[in-house]
Amino acid sequence: MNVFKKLFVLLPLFFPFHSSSQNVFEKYGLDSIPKITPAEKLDQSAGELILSEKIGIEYYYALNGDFLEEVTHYMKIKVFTDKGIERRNKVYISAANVIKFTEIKARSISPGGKVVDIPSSAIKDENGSDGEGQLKMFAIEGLEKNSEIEYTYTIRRVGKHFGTELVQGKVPKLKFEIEIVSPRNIIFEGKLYNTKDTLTKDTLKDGKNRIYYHSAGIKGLEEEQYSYYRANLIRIEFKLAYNHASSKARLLTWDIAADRYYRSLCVFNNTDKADVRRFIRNNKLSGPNSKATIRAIESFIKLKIGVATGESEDYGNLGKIIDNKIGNTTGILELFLATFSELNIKTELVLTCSRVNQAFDPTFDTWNFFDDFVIYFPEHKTYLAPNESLSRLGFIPPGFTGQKALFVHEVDLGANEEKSAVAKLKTIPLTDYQLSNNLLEAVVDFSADMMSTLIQMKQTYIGYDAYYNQPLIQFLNDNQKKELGEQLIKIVGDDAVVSDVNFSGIKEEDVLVNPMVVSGKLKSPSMIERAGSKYLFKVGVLIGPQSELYSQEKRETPGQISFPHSYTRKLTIHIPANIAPPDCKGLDIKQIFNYQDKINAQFISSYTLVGNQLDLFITEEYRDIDCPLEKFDEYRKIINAAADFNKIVLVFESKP
Amino acid sequence: MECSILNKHCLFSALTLSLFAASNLDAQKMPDPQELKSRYPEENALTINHSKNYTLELKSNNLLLSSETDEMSIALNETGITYINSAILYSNSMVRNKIVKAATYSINKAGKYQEYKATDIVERDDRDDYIFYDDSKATQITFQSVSEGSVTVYKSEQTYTEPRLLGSFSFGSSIRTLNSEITIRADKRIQLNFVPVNCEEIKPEYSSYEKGGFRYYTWKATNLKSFHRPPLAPDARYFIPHLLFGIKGYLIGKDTIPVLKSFKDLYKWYSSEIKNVNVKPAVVLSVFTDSLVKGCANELDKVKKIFYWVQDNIKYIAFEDGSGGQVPREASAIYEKRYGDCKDMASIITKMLSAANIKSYITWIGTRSIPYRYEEIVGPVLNNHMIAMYKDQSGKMWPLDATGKNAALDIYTSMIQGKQALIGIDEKQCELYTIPIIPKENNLTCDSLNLYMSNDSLCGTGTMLLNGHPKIDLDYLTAYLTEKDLKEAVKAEVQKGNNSFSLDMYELKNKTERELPTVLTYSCHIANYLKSFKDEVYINLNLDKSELSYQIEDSRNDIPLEFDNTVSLRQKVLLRIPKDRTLGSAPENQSFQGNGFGFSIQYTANGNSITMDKYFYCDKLLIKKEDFPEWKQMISQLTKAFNETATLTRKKK
Repeated sequence: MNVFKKLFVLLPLFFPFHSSSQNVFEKYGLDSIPKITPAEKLDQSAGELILSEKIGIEYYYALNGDFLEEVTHYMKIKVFTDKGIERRNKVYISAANVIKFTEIKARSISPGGKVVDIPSSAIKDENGSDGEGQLKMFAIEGLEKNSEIEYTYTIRRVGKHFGTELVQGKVPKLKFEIEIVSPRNIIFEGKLYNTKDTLTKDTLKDGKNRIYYHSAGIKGLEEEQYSYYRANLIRIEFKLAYNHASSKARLLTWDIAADRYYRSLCVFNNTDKADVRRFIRNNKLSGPNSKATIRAIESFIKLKIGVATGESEDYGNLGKIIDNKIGNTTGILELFLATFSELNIKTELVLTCSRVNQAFDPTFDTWNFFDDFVIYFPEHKTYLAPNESLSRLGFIPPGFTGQKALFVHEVDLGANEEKSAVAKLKTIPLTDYQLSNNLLEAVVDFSADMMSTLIQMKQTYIGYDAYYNQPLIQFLNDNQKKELGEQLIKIVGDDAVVSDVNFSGIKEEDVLVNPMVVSGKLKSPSMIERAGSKYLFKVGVLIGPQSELYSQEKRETPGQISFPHSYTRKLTIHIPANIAPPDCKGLDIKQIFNYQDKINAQFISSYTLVGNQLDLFITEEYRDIDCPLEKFDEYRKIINAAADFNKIVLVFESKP
Repeated sequence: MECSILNKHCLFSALTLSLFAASNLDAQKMPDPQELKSRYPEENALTINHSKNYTLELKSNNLLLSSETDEMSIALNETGITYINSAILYSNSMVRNKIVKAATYSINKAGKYQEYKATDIVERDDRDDYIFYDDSKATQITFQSVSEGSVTVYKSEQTYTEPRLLGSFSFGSSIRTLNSEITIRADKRIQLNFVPVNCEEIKPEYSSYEKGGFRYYTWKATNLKSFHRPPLAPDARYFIPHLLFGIKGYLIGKDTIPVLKSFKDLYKWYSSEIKNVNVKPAVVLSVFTDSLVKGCANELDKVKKIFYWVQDNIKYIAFEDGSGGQVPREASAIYEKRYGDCKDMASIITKMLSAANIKSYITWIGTRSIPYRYEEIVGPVLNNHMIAMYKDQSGKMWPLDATGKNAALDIYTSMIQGKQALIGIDEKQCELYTIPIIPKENNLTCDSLNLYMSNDSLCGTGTMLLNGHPKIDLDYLTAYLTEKDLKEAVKAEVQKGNNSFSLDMYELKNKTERELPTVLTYSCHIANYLKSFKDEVYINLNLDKSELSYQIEDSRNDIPLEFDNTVSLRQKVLLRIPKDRTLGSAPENQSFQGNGFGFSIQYTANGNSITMDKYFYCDKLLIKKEDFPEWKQMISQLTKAFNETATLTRKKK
């Protein structure tokens, strides 16, 4: 989100008490005498162990009144294995927006006590590739197994009003400290997530305020299937809450955010309005207040206006964006909002973040939750994600749904008053599981020599089940389209030969409105095996490979999936005339997981066998996205029911 | 682990630049989008012109190289916009790219092309995955006002600090290219060498003439299809049409001064770059080496001791800025730091061997991503890697590439097998040596599984013996994974049947013993695999059918299939027949022998068991177009064999 430059202009200036940095975090320097911790009795399972991590953030006023922060980061890590060495022997430090980098002190200490200091000449600067911004990077010298790496550095930058730090990672930490110190008039507040621990508040001798968290051990967290890793890590969020020098009122509240974002992004001057009218007129975007008009505008902007990553001011200027057909994310958001405003289509700007990274916490008003923009259309009760090229109206990135968000609600104070906005914290609703569906239809015949199955297959995708492919297909050439089609159809095994691949519902006007359909023919030798005079038909393979959760290992995190969705399978098998009706009892499966008196997920398969035609009907539904940890074993059964179905084999024997 | 010792983008940039085609820009010759659309309805974007003009001068007996690149592309529809709306150019300390023009031409209301100059041109450091720090820069041009029918163009100029970098030009790219042209304007006293590669189909047109003291060499190709890299394909240089060229020498009066006529000329250059490396004594390293090899019975043991120590203790971190891109660092510094790149590993190995009074040599080599041989062309395009070479008293060569870890002395890294190595014997002498391909027998994996039936599940114990590269790969995993991840990795290694496979226990032996096979013993059970019906139980003893993933699709367009290593895989599955059952039917034996690859599946039964013994092998690293019919036949036969199931019937009481 590239909007902060604009927003900061609106932030109130602080009137400082005298408060220069007092090097509070000198204590986070390197140990005065390098010492080595014996490897015995330490947890070596991760190949490395963070012996100590300390983060100190001190906010202060510079002599010229600027509000600054100095962040000191201390790390001491013991490496036990080659993996540990190779993970830790390169250090990258973000230098983005840094005013001053104090000397980086780094060294290795071998198990025998030999200390190798990293000279400052070995520290390289990089104007990061891949959007990483400025980096400082260096390699740790002299490492061997059971060595320790110790480094500390301090960076100075403009005081950020909101901060976040991950406390937990994959590697366990023996000791973790974070302290946030601010001048006596400035109060920061913070909150810890994914732990029962809480922050402590106090005042230092010199009157400075401090919030801190000291822990004598943070265990490592491994990634788990069916949950989002980062969102489950212990982390701290903190924010500037009060400046007693200017007012007793809470700062940077949700309402202030709503008002600032509103004035910054939702109010347009006459030049902008004229440019946008020209944009609408020249591109024939005018239309009634309807979903169709909104979709047409969305398609136009997403397909014809490029997204720039550069710094040019033109990328944020509506007139230039329109002329040059390229803008930055904020500029493009404004173009959307201004266009809808000109067409009298009511919108509300919505600020949120993806639950893949973190849950939006409505009880703690940090603006760090404003990672992403969404536009809400109250008259149509639907959402649009202006900066997501895959998304279309009604299907914003799934991580934004089922998530709280701040709605910038316009307030009209009367004819003579300037409009403003207040915050409304609401949940962006999940979409219904039936709106995101994959329907698989297959008709199966057998070659005369019973060496192959011949399958006519059709896959129909709607909603989020189409989200990752349907918007992209129009960008593929014929070869790539064919490859994708084959991939979607060829679910019965690597040896299957695919022909006659056909797509429908892949034009821009179809995207996330009409189903995306791919059909084709398959010839699969491996679905039928020979056992003496009998044949084994692997009917379960028709539904394709399935995720499984057979492992019973203890979970640490609750389950969560991207979006509610469902699968429907309609399979018709034409059993050859000379084959006796097979025993199909195993095809009836019913597995339901109820939670809070509602169906949370289910897998149901049933069949009819009439003459030599076997018809199978399977529904698999995930109606909710969450499954509490204590219920996960029940949820696991639904996932595994599909995986079990995939292995069902029917025995074909000749009629007597 | 591949790294570059010269210019990491010297060929790569040529191939990459070609993605953003161009030409002599002349607004009068702008293309007609409608005409192109109707001619190429299946294309989203086209490279209209892609050209490069080199100038090679000879001034005061010095060669001077510069070049210009012109690119012009068009978006035929909205989809095509993303293909042409940006371009990236690469530079480093040896090649500097300067953009002299970048603009979009879009059709205005009057139906005429209007120019929009690109203003967003940003240079960033360009970090390679394997290189920790280097001086490469990437300049990104973001074109504006690009819409359907727009044409983007840019022109850039390159200056070279080293004229011998002259190397290659790619005709094709990932979008259809209408005109592709390279011209080399060289002082007529300069002798050049040209090698068209993968050009049989496109047949570039060659012309040459002299004008004003220069000879012009031009190669033109038209209407080249787009190229895509299918799975398991080798590097693009194996199939994209391109031209290699190099400077053989030049005339001064009647004398020919060789530049890169033979590998010896290339060595002369390389040798001059390393002449000051490891000249000074490295006392601490020598003392350490003495202690390391103390007690070794013979020279080969000492070589192993040193080579293995470097593998284990010098971690791969590459600094390739400035001369660090070509010249190895001092061995004593590498010893202190405990890290380095391929050159540094070659440096410390040779120095340590020297301290042990063993002769070894710095050696330049191209990894398998580079398909060229010295017989075709001589130049830095051949090399991107450095190793050490030890020649034993019998004259046998031992390539020592310590970027590969956990490897025994005779198991060379995959990337150097079959490649020509340029061995620096002394300051003036060098020789070429082709690294052997490790035969399939040395990469043998033997997996033996004893199974029994328990209710509806299969249970059993297995032993897997891994040699050569399969051993190295597994040992690498064991060294780099946490316990939980390791169990998953072992499970993936031995998984059979279906995804109900459960790994109950496992034990790894010899994982740190380079010269012994790794032994993986395991116990497992597989639910949902047996099929019971009436009095019969069916079981397919081919529990692993992973070879079927090596299918060759028609869409592969003759692009070879590449394997990292030769393969021999033996899988033996023994099923104990329960006492109340007897073998009803057993599958037939099957086998196939092709030219360098094949399989056999044999079943043997005795009263209380049935055994399936599968052997699959491939003694080639590349399956080429000419191998395709046989390969497809093998896969088809293997598919049939895999579909054969054994039947156990209940004994009659």
